[in-house]
Amino acid sequence: MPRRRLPRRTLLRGACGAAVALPLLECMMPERQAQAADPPKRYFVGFGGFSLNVDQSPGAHSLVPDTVGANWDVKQMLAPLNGYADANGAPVKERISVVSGLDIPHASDVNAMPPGSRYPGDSFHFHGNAMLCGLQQQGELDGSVTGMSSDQIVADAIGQTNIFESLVYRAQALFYNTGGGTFDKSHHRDTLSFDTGGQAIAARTSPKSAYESLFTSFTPEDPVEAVAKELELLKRKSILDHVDRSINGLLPQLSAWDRQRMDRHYDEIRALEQLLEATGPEQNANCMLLPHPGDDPPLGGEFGQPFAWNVNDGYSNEEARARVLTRLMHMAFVCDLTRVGTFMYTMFQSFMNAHPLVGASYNVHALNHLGQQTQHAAMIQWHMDHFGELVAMLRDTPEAGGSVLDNCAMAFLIEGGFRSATTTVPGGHSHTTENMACLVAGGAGGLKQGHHVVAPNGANHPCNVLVSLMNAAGVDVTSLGDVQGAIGDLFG
Amino acid sequence: MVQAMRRWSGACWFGLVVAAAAWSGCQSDASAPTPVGPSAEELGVGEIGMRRLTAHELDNVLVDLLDDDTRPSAAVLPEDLRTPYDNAWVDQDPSQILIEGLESLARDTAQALVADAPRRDAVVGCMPNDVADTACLQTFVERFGRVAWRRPLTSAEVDDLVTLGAGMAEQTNDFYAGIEVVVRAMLQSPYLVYRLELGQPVAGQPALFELDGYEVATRLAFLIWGSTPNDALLDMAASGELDALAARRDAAVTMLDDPRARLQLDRFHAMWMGYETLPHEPAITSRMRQESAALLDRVIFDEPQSWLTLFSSTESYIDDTLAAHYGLPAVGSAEATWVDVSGAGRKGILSHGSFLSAAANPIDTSPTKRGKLIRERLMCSPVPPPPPDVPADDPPDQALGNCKIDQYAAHREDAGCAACHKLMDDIGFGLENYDRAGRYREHDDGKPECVIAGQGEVFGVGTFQGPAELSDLLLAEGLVDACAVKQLFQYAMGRDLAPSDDAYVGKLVEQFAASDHRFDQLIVDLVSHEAFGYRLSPPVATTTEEEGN
Repeated sequence: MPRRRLPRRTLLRGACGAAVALPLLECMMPERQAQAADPPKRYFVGFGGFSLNVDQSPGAHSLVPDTVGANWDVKQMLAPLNGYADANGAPVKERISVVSGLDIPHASDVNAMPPGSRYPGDSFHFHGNAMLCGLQQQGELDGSVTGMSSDQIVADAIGQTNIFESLVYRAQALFYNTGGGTFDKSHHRDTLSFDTGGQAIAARTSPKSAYESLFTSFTPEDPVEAVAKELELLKRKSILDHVDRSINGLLPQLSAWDRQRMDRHYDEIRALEQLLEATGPEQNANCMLLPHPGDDPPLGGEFGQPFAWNVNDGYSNEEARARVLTRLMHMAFVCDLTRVGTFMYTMFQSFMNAHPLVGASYNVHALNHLGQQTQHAAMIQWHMDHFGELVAMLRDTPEAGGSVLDNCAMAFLIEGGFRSATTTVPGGHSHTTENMACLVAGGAGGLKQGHHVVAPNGANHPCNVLVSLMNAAGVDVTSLGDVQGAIGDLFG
Repeated sequence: MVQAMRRWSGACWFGLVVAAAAWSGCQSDASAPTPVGPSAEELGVGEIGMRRLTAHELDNVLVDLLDDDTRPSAAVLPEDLRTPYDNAWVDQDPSQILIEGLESLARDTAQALVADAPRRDAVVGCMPNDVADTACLQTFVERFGRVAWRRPLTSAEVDDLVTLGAGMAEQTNDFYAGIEVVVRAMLQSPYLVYRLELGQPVAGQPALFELDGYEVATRLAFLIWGSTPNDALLDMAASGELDALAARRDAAVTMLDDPRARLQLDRFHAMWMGYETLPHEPAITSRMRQESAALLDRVIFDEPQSWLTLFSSTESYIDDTLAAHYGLPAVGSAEATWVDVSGAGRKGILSHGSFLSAAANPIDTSPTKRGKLIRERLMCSPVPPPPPDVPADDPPDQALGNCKIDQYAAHREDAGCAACHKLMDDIGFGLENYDRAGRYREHDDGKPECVIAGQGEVFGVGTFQGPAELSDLLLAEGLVDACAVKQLFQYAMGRDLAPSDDAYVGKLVEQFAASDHRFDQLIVDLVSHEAFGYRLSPPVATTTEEEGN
């Protein structure tokens, strides 16, 4: 996942080209030396596994503001964005834009699928290829991803010199639908990040692991801790050297299929070895080693109350997990450990138990279909609270005369939209990618902050938002997958 | 070409070798053909890629190797998908999360080990004379390495690990810092993490390998125990004993006597039938799991009999708490005991709370999902996916009526829906008197006016009312025994069935019937089939292994 400088495959491919013989390769130089002037740009994609599900037309909607442009009005589902005020009392919503009027085309004919469209039929919950990569969905209940997601394209462009080319986080700890459910498999629905050819990059869910990985290159201030960490690094390197020798001896003995898999295993080990060699950033008032978050909340969770929906069924204290991961993502951007992050708060078709969070006796998915409006809105508010906090933390961290947020291009994507037709339409109001909305934050590349933008016809696919944000992050693309064009109104 | 050659014999065989040699431009002497071993097809061997230990298996291994029962793996390793089994090798892609998870898992468990002197000393097996006691270190590496890597270490590997450990011991002036790094290295080694089946290539049969004794021991242990082979099994591998099918049979019989076999088969059935996790409070969940586990133990181990008794048993292992939950008369015991529940219309596992809790909707049963579970998992009879524009997630249409059976009317009356829903809903409605927690009910939840008829039908087979009659029907028509074989086979191989498995599975189905459906015997027959000792390596996907999924 966090691909680092020069993974083995890159070396073998000769990414440094003919310069391989040179003593000091420019592409191996730490970025820090070259970037004193301009602060780096960062790219972030968040995601919540829910639909808007209620009428979003003007006057009746509970997420999309009535007001277009600046000073948009905060509807029920976005209420947490009225909080997280800055030092002057301005709520975080003033730094967040809403983009409405989005739509992922839903093909009616397999042989005439528009660019970046969903497959005919009830292809909902399996449309990651369309939403994240701008490519056509491969089949009705087929979540396969066939191309690169926007974050990995950006990581290749601006993240190569960072310790972590990207960070891929997920708060929802497990798929949870392990019983005799309709869909047993979470395949390709459990991460937002896909490398070349749709190679899934597994999302990190353990806050403890995420912490230990992120701060590997940091030296503790306490001299005793620093010595202990140095010894531990020595142990890790010696052990990995041993593992290297084992794999090198093993590879020639493996049959082709096994060797391919072991090669990939080896690539990931080499990436870890690169991490252990990395020199950490200078710590200062903004970039610092955070305290260890402690052990992870138990998986499955037991919450002690004798009621079916709040015990041992689909909740692993995602609230606490999201808080820790938010702080790690923030610090990763602040310290320039990475410039690209994805954060799946809940999965496509999330079976996470909503009860501990909003008191509804449903999982998030069922809450969409069956729950009361207030409970559904509360579940969306939970997502907004975490996204809003991340934006506010970046806003409150100074950088180059402004804030880190000024150098960010951030999106929060929402799985589904709202269908205004009657419930005789399959999937009711929720199994639809009509009338979608998303959030945008950050000021990189001249992004407007705190506006409500209605996506124009012809550029109203969620990937048009992502193309705009990729541009804002300094990546010169005109399309994502098959979806062409940026949304000019986001800039100004 | 090679497979075609094998099917010919006598004079034709020689001619084909010549033809093949000429065709391939080979200049070798055609009068001395190399021997050609049996083909995968003849043996009944299907594809198996390199398998990684599941989080559950890794936890079991930590118990067996280190006496560490903290079960830490799931928290830091990527989630094992359920297909419904957790061991599908095609899905086991390596990732950064895996590598770092394995590393931290090894660190935490090794450090906990050396900090716990009694456990540490038992695992290490010798007391060091001093920090630099390489003799003790080497003894440990050789003995522990053999169980950890499921084969004897080469002398080079022993040297490498001893050097690693001795160096760290010297640097830290602590013998056990050396033990710690050695244990960490062995735990995150590909030799532990993956079940490497290198075997011996079968002559003339590309991608086909005959497993060695250690690899067979490993297959036996992970199938029957969900864990690593013990010293006794490795000794049998070392002596060549496991090369004989009869010895594999004997070994399996012995292994089934181990308590780990009970846990393994309980978990296999739970994944199979969808009750691995239950949406109830722990007090009820644990009792339901115990009820099903006790019946499995009785049928397979304690009073070995036809496994079909799992469906026909009139007795259930319940206590007062579970009886009260089900709405049964008190059994008069705070401890679970066997009681006859047939008077209440219950019989076998289909009337257990565990099974009845699987495949439910959030606040009520789903007759559709229950029917689908029974048809697909118990009858191995796939239901076609919903046609375009019919979402599986839609709640029943409240507008169609007050009572549930009326709300499902669209499934019956719309011709486009009825064809498939008849396969599912009609089974589910026969179980409607049992709610999503296995409790008996006379009417829809909260609606006394909606009396539940509980009439069901297995389309094309027969009608029934309630779990007892459904069980009778399935058994009378012989609908579950071949499916049970297929499910076990799928779990054993870590993949879906393929046409190449037909002969192997077909023989097992016959043997299962001939042994009065003894499940212990089925496992013994599975592992003593000749094909169990072979592996066919899958073809390489065009770009990445992802595309094989």
